Amino acid sequence: MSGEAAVYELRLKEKLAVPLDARRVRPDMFAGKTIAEIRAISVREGNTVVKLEDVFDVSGPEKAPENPGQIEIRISGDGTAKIRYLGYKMAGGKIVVKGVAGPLTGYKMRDGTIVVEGGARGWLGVKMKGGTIEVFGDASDFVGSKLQGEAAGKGMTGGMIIIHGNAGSNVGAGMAGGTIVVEGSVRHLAGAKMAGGNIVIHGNCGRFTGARMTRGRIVVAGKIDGILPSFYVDSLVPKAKVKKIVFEKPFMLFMGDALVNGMGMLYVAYEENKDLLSHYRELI
Amino acid sequence: MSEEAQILIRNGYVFDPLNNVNGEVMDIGIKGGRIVDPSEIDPKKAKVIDAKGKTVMAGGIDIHSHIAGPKVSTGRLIKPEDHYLTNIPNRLPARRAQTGIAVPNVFKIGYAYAEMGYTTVVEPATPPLKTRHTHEEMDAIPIIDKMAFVLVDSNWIALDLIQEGDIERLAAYFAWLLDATKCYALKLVDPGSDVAWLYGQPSLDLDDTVPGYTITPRDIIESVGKASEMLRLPHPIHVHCNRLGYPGNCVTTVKTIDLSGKIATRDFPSLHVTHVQFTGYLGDSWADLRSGGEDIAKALNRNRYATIDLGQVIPGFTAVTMTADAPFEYVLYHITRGKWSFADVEAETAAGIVPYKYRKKNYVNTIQWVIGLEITLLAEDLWRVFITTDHPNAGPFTGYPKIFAWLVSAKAREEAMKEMSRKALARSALPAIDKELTLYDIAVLTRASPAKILGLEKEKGHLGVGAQADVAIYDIDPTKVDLARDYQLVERAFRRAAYTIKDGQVVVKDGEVVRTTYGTTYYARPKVPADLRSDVLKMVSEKFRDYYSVALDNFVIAEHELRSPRVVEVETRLKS
Repeated sequence: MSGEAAVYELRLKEKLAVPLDARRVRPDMFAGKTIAEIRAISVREGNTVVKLEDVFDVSGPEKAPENPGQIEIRISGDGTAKIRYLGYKMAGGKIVVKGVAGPLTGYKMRDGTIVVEGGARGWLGVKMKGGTIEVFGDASDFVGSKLQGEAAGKGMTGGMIIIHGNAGSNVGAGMAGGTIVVEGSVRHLAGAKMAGGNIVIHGNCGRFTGARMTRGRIVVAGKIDGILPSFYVDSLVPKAKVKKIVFEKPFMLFMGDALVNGMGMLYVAYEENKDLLSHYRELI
Repeated sequence: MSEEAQILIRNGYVFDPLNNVNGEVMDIGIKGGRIVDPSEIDPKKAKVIDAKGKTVMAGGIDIHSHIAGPKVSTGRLIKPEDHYLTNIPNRLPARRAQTGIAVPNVFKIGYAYAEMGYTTVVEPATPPLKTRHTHEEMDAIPIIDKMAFVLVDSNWIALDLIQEGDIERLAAYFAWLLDATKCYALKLVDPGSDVAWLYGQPSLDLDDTVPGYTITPRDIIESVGKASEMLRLPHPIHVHCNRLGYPGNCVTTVKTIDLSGKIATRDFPSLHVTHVQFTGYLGDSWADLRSGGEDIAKALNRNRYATIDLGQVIPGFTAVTMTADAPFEYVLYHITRGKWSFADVEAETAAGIVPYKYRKKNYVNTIQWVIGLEITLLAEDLWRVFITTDHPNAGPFTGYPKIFAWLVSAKAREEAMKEMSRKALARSALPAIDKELTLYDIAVLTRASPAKILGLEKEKGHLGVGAQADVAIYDIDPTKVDLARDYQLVERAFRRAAYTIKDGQVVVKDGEVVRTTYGTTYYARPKVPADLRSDVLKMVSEKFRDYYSVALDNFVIAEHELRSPRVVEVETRLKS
C-alpha cells in the first residue's frame, strides 16, 4: 500500500453485547464516499439495522479516495470479537483490527489485506479467493475452510493466511488453493477434504491430518499425533520447501488419502516423530 | 380475522375458468372472508383496490409440494449450505425471518407461496406414524391453507386386507386412518416397493409379486382405488408410479393410467398420476433415454378418468430429492455418491433423501425438462393437468413463474433451449411444438382444475359469489402485453403478485408480505356405518398390538392438536 493511504479510525462507542454484522465495512464500500456517507453505512446489530455512527466513532479524511487500494480501516474498542463478516468480498485496501477479530472475518475476500493484532474467532478467511490475512494471536477452527455441508474443494481458492499463534481444528478443510501458514500448533483434521493449496504448520498437529484429501500439500514441522492408515509412505526427503518457506531437516513424505484415490502430499518432520515414523522407514 | 373487513377490487381483468370468465373487466367484492356481489359493498367503508390494467385470479392451488413432515426436516439438515447467506431478516410484525432456497424454512414456504399468489398447498406424502409431526410443521406454515395425503402403499394392515380381498373392510380401514391421521386423501408411492425394500430387493414393476404376499402392485392400485371410490373421497388416489426414475418406465406409467377406467365408478377422476416427468422415460438405458411425453399425453387423452401433474424440472438448480420410494433413492445415491439419508417407518413405509443437481447441458436432465412441457402442450384437456415441480424434488416451487413463461411463450422455450443439451433436444418433439397457452389456461392449470380435483370447487379456485376470498392480483395487462414476446414480464409478474388476499385480508402487497396470518388444515372424514366401524376398530387394535411399537391410543391425532382444522364430511357408499 502506498504511503499516503487514507486512514479511517473506527472505535466502538461501547462494548458490543450482541453480534454485529459488518459486511459493509470494507474499503470498496468506503471508496469515493464523504465522511457523512460513510457514517451512514448500515450495519446490523443483533436484529436491528443501525448506522455505522451509532456503533462506532468514525474519524478520517473528509472524502475517501476513489481507489479502494488507498483506504485503510482501523477498528478498535471493547468487544471487536462480536463483529462478524468483516471484509466480506473485500476487493482491495486494508483493514486493521486492534483486538480480536470476530467470526467469518474475510469471508469470500478477493483482494487486499486484513491484519488482526489480537486473535481471531472461527471461520477466518472462509472461501477466500485472494488477498492476505495476518493474525498475530491465536485463530480458532475452520481457518480458510469451506462451509459445513459443501463439497470438497469449495473452501479457500487463493490468497494467503498467516497465523503467528496457534489455530484450532479443521484448518484448511476443503480448501482448493492458496496458502495457510500457522506458526504455532493446530488441532485435529487439518487439511481434511483438501483439494489443492498448501498448509504449513510450524508447530504440532493433531490427528486425522489430511483426511480425505485429494490434492495439495500439508507440511507438519512439529510433532504429529498420528498418520491415517489410508496414507502411503512415499520417501524420506532431506528438506521441505513450500512457497519459499524452507525447512532444512528431513521429512517423511506420505501420499493420500487412499480412501478417495487422493494424490495429496503430507510431509511430516522425521526427527520430531521418530517413534511414530521409524516403522515406516522400514517400508521404504 | 376481522369479519367486518370489506374489500372492493375495481376494474381488473378477471380470469375465472370455473365461472367461464375470460379476461372480462369486473369488480370483485369481499366481505367477511367471502366473495360477495360488488353491490353489497359500501365503497366508503371498504378498502378499494384499483386493479385497472391488472390481472385478477383466484388464489393458486398447488396439489403436490412436500412442505412438511419428517423428511422435509431431514432435507433441511442434510443441506446446511442452503442456509448460509440466504437469510432474509424479519420485519415484525409483518413477517418473520426466512431462510433456505432448496428446502426453505416453514415461514419462507408460506410467504413465498403467498408472494406468488398461491393460497392452498397440499403435502402429498406423510407416513401415518409420523403425521403428528407433519401437522405440527404445517401448523407453523403461515398464510396458506394446507392438507396432507396419507401413505398407504406399503402399509402392512392395508396389504393384509388387500390380500384377503375384502374391499369394504379396506375402505373402512382407510376411513378410520384418514380420520385418525387427519388427512385428506390416499397416496400410493411405488406400490409395494417399500415392502420389497424391507426384504432387500429392488423396486417392483406393475406385475411383480410383492414379497411376503401373493398380490402385485397392480392389485394394490386397483384395490386402493376401488376403496377410495367406495368412500367417495374428494380427491382420487394419488399414485407415484412403479419403476419411477428408471429408463423405459413410460410403459409402466401408461399401464397405470389405463387402470383408471377400471377403477372409476362416478363422473370424477379416479386416479391421479403424480410427477409424471420422473416416470415418462422411453429407451433401454440412460444413454438412449428419450422423452415419453407424447405417449403419456396420448394415454391421458384416451383415459378421461385419469389426471396427472408434471413434476417439472427447473434446470441449473440443486434439488433435494425426498420420496417414500426408498429403493429408487438408493439407486440415485449410487449415481450421485454424495450425501444421503434413509429411513424405515416400521410397518408402514420407508423414505430416502438425496441431493441432486439438474444441469442444463446434461442429456438426461434436458430430457426430463422436455417431458413435462411436452405433456402440458400436447394434452387436449388442460383440466386434467396440473403444474408442479414436486417441490423440492425437481425444483423449488419458486420456479413456477418460469414454467408459466415457458408455457405461454415459444420464444421463452427457445431461449431456454439454447443452454440445454442439443443432442437431447434433437431427439425430442418439444422444439417442433409452437403451441402457446394463454392466461386463461394458466388460470385453469393452477386454480380451477386443482380446486376441482380436490373436490373444493365450491369454495376454492374461483371468484364467484360465496367462494373463499382468496384472490391474487398480478401486474400484467392482458390487452397490452404480448405474452409470447414479453415472457420475462410474465415471469416477473407471477413471481411477485401485486396483491394477494387470503380469507379477505391483504397479506401481500407489491410482492412483499405485509401480514402474517395462519390458514386452515383440511381433512376428510368419511362416514362409516357403526357396525363396520367397530369391526374395523377391533381389527386395527389387534394389528397394532402385533405390528406397531406405539399404542393405538397414542397413534390417533385428536382434532385439538391442529391449529385450525376444517373437516370435510364425506358421504360414502358403504352399507351396514
